[in-house]
Amino acid sequence: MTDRTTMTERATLLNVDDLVVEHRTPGRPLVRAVAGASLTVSAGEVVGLVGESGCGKSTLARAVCGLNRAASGTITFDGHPVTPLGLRRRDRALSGIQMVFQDPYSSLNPRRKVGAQIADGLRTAGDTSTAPADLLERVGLPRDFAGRHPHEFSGGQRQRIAIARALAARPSLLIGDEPISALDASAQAQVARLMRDLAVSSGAGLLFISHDLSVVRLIADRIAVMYLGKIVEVGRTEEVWTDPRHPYTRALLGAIPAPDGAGVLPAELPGDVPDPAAPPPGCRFHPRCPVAMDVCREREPAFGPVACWLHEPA
Amino acid sequence: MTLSISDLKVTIGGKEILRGVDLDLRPGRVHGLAGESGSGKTMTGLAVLGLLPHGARATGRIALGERDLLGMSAKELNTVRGGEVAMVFQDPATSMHPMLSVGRQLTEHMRHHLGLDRKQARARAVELLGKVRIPGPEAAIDRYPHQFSGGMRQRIAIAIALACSPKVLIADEPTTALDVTVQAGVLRLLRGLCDDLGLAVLLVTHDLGVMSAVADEVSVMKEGLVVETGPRGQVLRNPVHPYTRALLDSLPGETA
Repeated sequence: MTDRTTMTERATLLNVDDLVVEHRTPGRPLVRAVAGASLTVSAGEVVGLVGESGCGKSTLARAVCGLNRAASGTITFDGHPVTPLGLRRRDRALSGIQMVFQDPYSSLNPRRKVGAQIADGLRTAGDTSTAPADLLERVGLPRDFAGRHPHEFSGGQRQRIAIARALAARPSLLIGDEPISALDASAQAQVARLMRDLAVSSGAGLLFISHDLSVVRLIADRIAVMYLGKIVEVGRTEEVWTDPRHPYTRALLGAIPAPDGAGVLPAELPGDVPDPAAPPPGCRFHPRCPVAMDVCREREPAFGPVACWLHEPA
Repeated sequence: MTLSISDLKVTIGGKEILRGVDLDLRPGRVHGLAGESGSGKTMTGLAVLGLLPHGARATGRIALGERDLLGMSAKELNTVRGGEVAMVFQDPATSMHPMLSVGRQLTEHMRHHLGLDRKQARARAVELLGKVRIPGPEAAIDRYPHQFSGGMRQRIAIAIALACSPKVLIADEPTTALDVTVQAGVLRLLRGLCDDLGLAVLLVTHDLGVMSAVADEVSVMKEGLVVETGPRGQVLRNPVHPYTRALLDSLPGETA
């Protein structure tokens, strides 16, 4: 490997460019779950992808893993195009992408011992020196858990096991698809921090998908905000948090209640998320936008980092 | 006073989970119950409904009006549960039956508790779905839980809890699994229902922001005991107990 390719790797590990993913259900209209989204993740970087449920966050993550086929657009990982997962063995170059799923109650095999499941990951990486128990230790669990079955653990412990299994394959990109939403409230921040620490310390990138902005704020370097299949704002976490520019980002942040004891109900975003099978013309957010202008109803703001006509780049 | 819990103690396998909890719920008021995981918040909620895990022993008194819920037989309790006292759980993905349509789950207890016929129950179910802002309630009623997003499922779960016009609603982390925008809507919904219907709500949550937004009174639990109770403004702004202060201090800075 030449120095130049190493440099590009550092710059961007994952490059999602104008990705479109469609869901086809017989008897129902075509749903364009991801409608032209672009995103990059660099090595050692934590990117938080936030948005309401149904906005296409998970579909995007699944496409990055090859679990959903891209209708158009490209996904490249480490210079290799990501191809959809088929019946054959996955391309070795792509085993550097590992995913932690939302529900550890269904993502772990209930009939196999935890240690054996972690060993699968180790085998993928061709790692013969690490024991499953070592990985359990890294995620903060006792070594002797390797001989037990998933049902013996709580949700938080199971998710740690799922993280250990993903890490066993030595990923250079870890994807967490709502990895904390099935957990007990108090375990959420802990598990999120753990994922960040483990990914960053091994130099891997982390794409962390969550609807919980306060947790994303704790762990992400950059935040990407998604609305109805499109990324509407990308920026450094502090900047997005202190100075949100897209009206949707503002609405999202404004909906977080402050623990000040004042009894103020958080602002509600009027209207509902439109049906992704029939998105509104122009800017997708305009029917709910408090500052919509004429141009918003006609033309789609197809630029970044803030996809809003108020913030059109000069 | 709608529901009064006094000196509630719960032991499971010789281990004391609750060590004397006192709480009062009033109609039209939201009582917030805060505390970290394992402090007994959820157990308090479950004890009210008689849903404690197998082998648990509860002593003390949970008075619903004149009646003591702890002294009731299973049969008597069944007339209260889902009717006068309802509950909303944290995770709508597991609290709803995956193989029954939303309509079945919304109407079953209505027909049992309120004695409605099929048509009336269905009409009320559609009305409730509209109330919790499910788009297209007439069509949604025949769908199954997996066809809805998490936020929608929780709104349906709230509709199910409200179906029999309960006096007391126990909400155990009802918005933890939801989007903030949906959470804002659900909190407004809860607050509105509490005010309009005179519902007494016990809101169990770890999120002090949520607590601050909707609760009138706040109780903080630690290791099976209520360490502090008071009006929202006082507990969240000038906590007396060091544990409450520690909880507030552990929040990540400015959240605007």
